[in-house]
Amino acid sequence: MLTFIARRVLYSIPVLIFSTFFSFLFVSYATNPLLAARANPRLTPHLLHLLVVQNHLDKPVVVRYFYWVQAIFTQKLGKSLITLKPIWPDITRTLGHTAQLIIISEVLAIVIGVAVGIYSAIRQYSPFDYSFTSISFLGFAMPVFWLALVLQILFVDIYNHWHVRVFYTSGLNTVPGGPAWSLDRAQHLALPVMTLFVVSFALYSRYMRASMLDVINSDYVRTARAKGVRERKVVMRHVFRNALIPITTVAALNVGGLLGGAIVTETVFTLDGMGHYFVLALGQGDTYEVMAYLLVAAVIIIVFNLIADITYGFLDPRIRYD
Amino acid sequence: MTEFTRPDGSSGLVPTAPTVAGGQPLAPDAGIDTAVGMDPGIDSTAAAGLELQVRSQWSYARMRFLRHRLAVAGLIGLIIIFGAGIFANLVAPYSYAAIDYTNTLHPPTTINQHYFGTDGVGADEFSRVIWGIRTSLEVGVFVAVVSSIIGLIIGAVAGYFGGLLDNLLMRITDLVLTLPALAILLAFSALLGNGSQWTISIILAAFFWTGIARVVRGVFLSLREKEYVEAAKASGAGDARIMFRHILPNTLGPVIVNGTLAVGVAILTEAALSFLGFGITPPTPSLGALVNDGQNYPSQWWLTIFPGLLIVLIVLCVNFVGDGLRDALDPQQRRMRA
Amino acid sequence: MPEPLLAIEDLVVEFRTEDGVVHAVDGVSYELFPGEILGIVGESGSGKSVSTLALLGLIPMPPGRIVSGTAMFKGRDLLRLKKKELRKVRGNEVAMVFQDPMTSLNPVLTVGRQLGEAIKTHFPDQKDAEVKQRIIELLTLVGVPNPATRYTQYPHEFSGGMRQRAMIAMGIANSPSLLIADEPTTALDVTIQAQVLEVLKRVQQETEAATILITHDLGIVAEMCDRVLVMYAGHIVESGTVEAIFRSPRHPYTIGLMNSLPKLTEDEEWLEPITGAPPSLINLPPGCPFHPRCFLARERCRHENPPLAPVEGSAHQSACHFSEELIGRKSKFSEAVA
Repeated sequence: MLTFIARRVLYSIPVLIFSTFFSFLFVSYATNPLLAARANPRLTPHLLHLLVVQNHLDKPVVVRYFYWVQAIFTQKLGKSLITLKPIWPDITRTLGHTAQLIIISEVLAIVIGVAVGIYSAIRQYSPFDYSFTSISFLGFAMPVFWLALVLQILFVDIYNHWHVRVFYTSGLNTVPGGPAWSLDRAQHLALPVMTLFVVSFALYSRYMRASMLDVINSDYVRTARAKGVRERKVVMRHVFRNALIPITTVAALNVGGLLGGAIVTETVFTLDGMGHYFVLALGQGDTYEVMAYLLVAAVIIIVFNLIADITYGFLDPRIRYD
Repeated sequence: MTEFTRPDGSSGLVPTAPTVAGGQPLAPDAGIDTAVGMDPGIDSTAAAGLELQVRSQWSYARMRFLRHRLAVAGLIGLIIIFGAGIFANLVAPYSYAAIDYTNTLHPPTTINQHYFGTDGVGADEFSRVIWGIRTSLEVGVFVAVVSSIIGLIIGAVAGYFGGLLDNLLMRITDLVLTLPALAILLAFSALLGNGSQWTISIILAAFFWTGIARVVRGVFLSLREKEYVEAAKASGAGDARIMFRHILPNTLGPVIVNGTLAVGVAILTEAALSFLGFGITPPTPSLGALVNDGQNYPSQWWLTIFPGLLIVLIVLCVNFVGDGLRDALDPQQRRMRA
Repeated sequence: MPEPLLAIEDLVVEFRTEDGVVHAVDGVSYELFPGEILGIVGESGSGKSVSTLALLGLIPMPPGRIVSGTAMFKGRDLLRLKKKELRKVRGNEVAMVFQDPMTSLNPVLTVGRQLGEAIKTHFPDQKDAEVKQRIIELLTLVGVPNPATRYTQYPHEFSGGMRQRAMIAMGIANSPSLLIADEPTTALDVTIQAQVLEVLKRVQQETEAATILITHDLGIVAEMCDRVLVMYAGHIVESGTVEAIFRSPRHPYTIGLMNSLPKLTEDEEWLEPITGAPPSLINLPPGCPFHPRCFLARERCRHENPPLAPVEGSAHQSACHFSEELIGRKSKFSEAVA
């Protein structure tokens, strides 16, 4: 098992290097930080020159890449070229907020989605099944930004009409700290979580349902029934565990989509998260901030793929001893 | 009819054996599947009791598709919506940029045909949505078609030739899959895009081919083993072109399904990009940009609801059609419908 | 005459599909006596598997339906039992061994756990250690080496033959009075087939369970069975002792089956397959289901479905109007059996 993990980790490193390298190439080509820097009135020619030398902006791209990689480890991702602020604290702060949003909505989506999927499969063609199938189809067709906006508008209207703040429609916190903080944060995150939840839920419930139906008709389930095992136990012990296996792959593939959804959701609800940070950085053409986001995002995806691989190995003994 | 001799010396006639596709027995296994359902390419027979219905593969698929009420409804919906988009200049009462400062922020009404109301500069929302639909249609179809073609070619090459080429191409696809999709697309469109719908379409197509390439490659890999043996035996010098004649048609099903669903995904993605301001920018109409505009007027719900609603409807219909196509074209029909 | 252990009377099973109603089993009646091995022979789609799956209620009931019939087993009608009662019978008094051991065993559970489940389902009070002991005994009986180690392994770590042995062990775990083996060796290599059949024979001798052995292989029938039923298109067309049937087959289909086997002891110029193809179970031919392919077929066969009637004494029965014409007609195996 450990070799399994070690091999996966080792394989991830060249992938990471490749993806960051190509991203760096592209971003460096597409952005011209000097342009914005020169426009910055606070930068004297002398400081500008210092900037160029420090960031090796006069060297070819490939060399700059290596300096950037070095900066990751030695200078904690370096500094933004435009705001001259260190990147690391921003990244860690925003990452924390995004992580809250993503993890909560994903966990909810998996747990509820899997449960709904199981029940839909067991009661195939029932009203429950049909209604949740419809909801899933809606979930797949829903643009995340639109759903976010609709929720936002809805609750702004509720507040305007009844003067009751059910959920907050922007920001992360209104109360600075203290005992009410958690509830406050929850109220702020509620709508964003709901938004991200919907699409992921649709994904998991559909896949779980399909997986369950697939397994329910398989030969080994027939064998279990032929042994006289009670139907409920057949489902729990034989069907469920096997049906869950493909879901790990689905979850791993969904991380990219989640990050994308986070970008949009944070923008609509003005949350201080990584996605929002990224959009702002893009708008300004800030090379290093953009690269920092892409790096962290790639690492997140790789880490989650690893977790999925391990979970897969845990669930399916056939691939354990790879 | 063929002749045979009976034990008593008399001769008789017996019906000639019908040709059966591929030598496969027509009867189902264990009685669970149906005789006709599994092998659509069967010729008809004249003998009594062997009345199988004549079905070519495509008419069989079409029949299955039409049995899907949702798919048919989706198709009708698409015809209506996309039809409106194609004939936008006939359907939309106003042009995209027609402004009217005397009539700003008017709620939906039938006066002056402002069915969806007007926006901050008095432009008719209904017309703008119709024009936006046209753009979405163009983007969606372009991305789906182009990415499908690219994906088909690359997947075929990778699956057929295998080896180093396959490895290389798959590493690239893997790479693309490990990147956060929207972030990368955002970066590309922000840094390379110029607000043109074609730039965005090309960027999206350049990203979407990876999905179908994997599927096509899979089909080629698996069929290469089977068909290769048969082809080698049957025709001696198995022409590569023959393989493409035999294997390629088997990929058409998944390609068509994937391509259809890609239309929806492309439209959603473009809308998100445009919403964030990095996609299609005025004067080219875009449903995503319309929603973005609407964001500035939270009390005027019609400015955000209608454009977004149309996106939802379009993608919903596309997904229904895609689902129906998948059922119609997917040969792996193991489950029975009551 | 001893009491039959199992008496099936007029069993009819059908499946509702998109293309029509599949008549999988169309009026099957037979008896099974304690301690005997009954073979059921037929092509794919003859209904041989479905008829036994119906006994244990293992046919998926939305598309499938047991239209009519009785199956008396130890004084109770299996087809009319309530779910709870039927569950008590499954794996306990009547056990089944399936065709493909790779897909018939749960890949994520250890073999020991799955075998243990067979026992613990019916005897939940048994102590774990005792159950494990029993399983190791069973594995030894079926010839699985190192049973103690194998107990903790997963199905994919077993070879095909060993998996099937484990399946057999699972079947006899609770000493059933009736063991149904549905094509137990079809998915295995020929050399392994012989081993597994050997195990089956040994197991049958040890437990004295009545066994129904379903197969399409006449050779297996000759080797293993006491009596045999020949099925075609959901009907029994011939039944009798192995000796009688091989020595003097009395149904054209049986003769056709036997003649289509290549004879290893002589040179043959041509193989003699049965002309035609198995019929559609949705559109069964009127009259005798075999008549379109039968060399004896006459006008009467097109209209009247021949009932299963005794030929020489009550033990040997054939469903053919003209079975007398086959008297004296020998099959390839006649000399071998005599």
